[in-house]
Amino acid sequence: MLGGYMNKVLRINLTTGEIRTEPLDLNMARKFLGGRGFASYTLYKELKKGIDPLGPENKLIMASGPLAGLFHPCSSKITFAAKSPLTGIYGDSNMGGHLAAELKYAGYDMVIFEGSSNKPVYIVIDDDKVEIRDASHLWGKGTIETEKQLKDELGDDFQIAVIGPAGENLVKVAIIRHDFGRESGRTGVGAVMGSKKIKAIAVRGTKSIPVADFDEYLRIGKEMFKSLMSSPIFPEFQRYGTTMVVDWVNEIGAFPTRNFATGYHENYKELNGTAMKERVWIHDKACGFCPIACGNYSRVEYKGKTYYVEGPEYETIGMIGGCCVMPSIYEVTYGNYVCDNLGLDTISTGAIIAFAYECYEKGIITKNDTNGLELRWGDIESFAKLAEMIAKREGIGNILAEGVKKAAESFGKDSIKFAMQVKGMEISAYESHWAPAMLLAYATCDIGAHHNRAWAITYDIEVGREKITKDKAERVVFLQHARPMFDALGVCRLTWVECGLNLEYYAKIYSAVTGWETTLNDLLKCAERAWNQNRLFAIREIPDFGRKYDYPPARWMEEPAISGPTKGRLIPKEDVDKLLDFYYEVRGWDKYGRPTPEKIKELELEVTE
Amino acid sequence: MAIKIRTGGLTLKRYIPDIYYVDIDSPLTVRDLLTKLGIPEGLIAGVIIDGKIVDKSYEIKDGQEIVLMPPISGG
Repeated sequence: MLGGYMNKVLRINLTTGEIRTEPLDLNMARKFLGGRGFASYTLYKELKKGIDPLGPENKLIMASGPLAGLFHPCSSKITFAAKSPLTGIYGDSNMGGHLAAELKYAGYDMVIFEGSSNKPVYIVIDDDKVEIRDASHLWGKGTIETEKQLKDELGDDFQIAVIGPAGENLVKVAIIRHDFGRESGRTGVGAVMGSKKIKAIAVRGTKSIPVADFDEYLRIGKEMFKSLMSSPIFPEFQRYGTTMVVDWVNEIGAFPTRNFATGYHENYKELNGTAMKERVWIHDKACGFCPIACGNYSRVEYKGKTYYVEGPEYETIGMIGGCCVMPSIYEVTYGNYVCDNLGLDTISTGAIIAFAYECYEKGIITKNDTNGLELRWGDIESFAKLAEMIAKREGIGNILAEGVKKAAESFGKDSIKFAMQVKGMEISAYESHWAPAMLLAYATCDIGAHHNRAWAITYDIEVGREKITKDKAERVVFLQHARPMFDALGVCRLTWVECGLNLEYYAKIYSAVTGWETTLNDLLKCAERAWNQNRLFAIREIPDFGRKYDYPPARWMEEPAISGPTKGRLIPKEDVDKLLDFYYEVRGWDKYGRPTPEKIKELELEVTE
Repeated sequence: MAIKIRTGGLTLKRYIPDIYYVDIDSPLTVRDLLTKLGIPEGLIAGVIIDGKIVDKSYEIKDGQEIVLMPPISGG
């Protein structure tokens, strides 16, 4: 018996209203595991070259993984994916919460949303009963109100994913949000959902997930829990979550401050884990099956009103607090609330607003461009106003809603040099003026700059930040397979490097669950296959795609960091080229950054027009 | 002066066991302790003593338990 998979794909066409199911392609399951792997394969296979990411021909994928929804640690991840409106290439973003499990219980491994509706709708997936319902009463509402209203209407046992005004208005950094605080935040998947006029997706299920060897599964699952929870630092990890690193990144000069001009925020202690815990934190919050509960639920007062939000976690602190130079955790928490409720990615929005602040400071844009709004570093009022203008595409917000790359092309005056993005997507919260492996990780990330795929900054520190060596490329490539492997399996990766859980567990438990005897190398090969598939997607879309799309912004190569531990540092273009040469060699790609025929054959990939 | 160190995660495994006891002769700071143990300071994301995050300049007292947190990738 094959376990882990529900053996069913749900296909919903918003144009025709047709709803149908089909058996899961087991060849795809073998070769791509699940989650983002399914998305990579399906989007490459089913999308025509050159389609409009916000048109009806794009498809929005919602896919869990074979390990999601079972009761070993942290089995809660689901991926949303589409051709990205932000980058024009393959895009995805995963989230925790409870949706992955519920989708499996409803009986599906993957849902493919096709076409687009001519009126706002929400989707109800209630086991085998699937409906497209009118959402005109929800359209225009914030994410919090939308999710709450649907919970009230449908029942608390539905797991719900929603978009906010940003997704409705096709803002290219719009998120899909679930469980009042879990987000598929990157690559603009929320805009794709908005383009299909889907306001929300509600899922409830009552089925069981098959497991091939239940006794063995139980044995390994228990071992995983024991290993994870007996880590001597487990209680501290629970207490502070990801905010713990704020002090550290400032000490090493990697906190993205003042639009990445420096890696050091002078008042970082006003933004760190202690500040969060003592000033805004109310209680911890966990995704399904997670004993860590790294999420923080917080409360903040602003202008006499009280706001509640899940967060801020590290990335939000880095991108709103550091990048926009906010003075304290209070402003960051309020900014977090504003973005979440509007349905904006806090990472990209932080980068976009920091970019706008810098353009304003340099006179590239003026009050004439901002409807009289004065833009100042550290000013939460202008941040909140600008976020709203972006979400509603009002005034200059309509330009900023396209992301920093497009905004820089619109503003001109060399602003592209400090538009902090790769492949069109804003860089997340690790300042890399002096972190070559981290810079390479951002530069080569398959969806545009994102730390999630290869978090290599600790490697820079371990082996020497000044080194431009092949082992750094090897490390980045390994991470680019290992970390996405978690996304494909439908489990959280924080158990691994952070809590010390051995990677081999995932091969053992995948074997026990599915009944397919599988090694860790087999799993990593599947992740490599998806990585190359995504590169082929980009090459098919953009004929000259390759090395020139893998460069970081000029700021990191030409402008030294202005303060802090990395003051005066940069990584010149010739060193970036050396890193890319190493990287392409390790990957088995040619010098232009394209998979060689041998590599394509080795991975059993098909190239189509 | 006896100190107990707790740590974990993969990044620090090559430098120190998850639970480690060390004797020191004279008062020293967390930073000094890291140097003594050969752990790169840049790989310690946080130091926690008595449930509070402390600086690496904190002077360690006899019998204290020190938690060395590895870097955690955020969000």
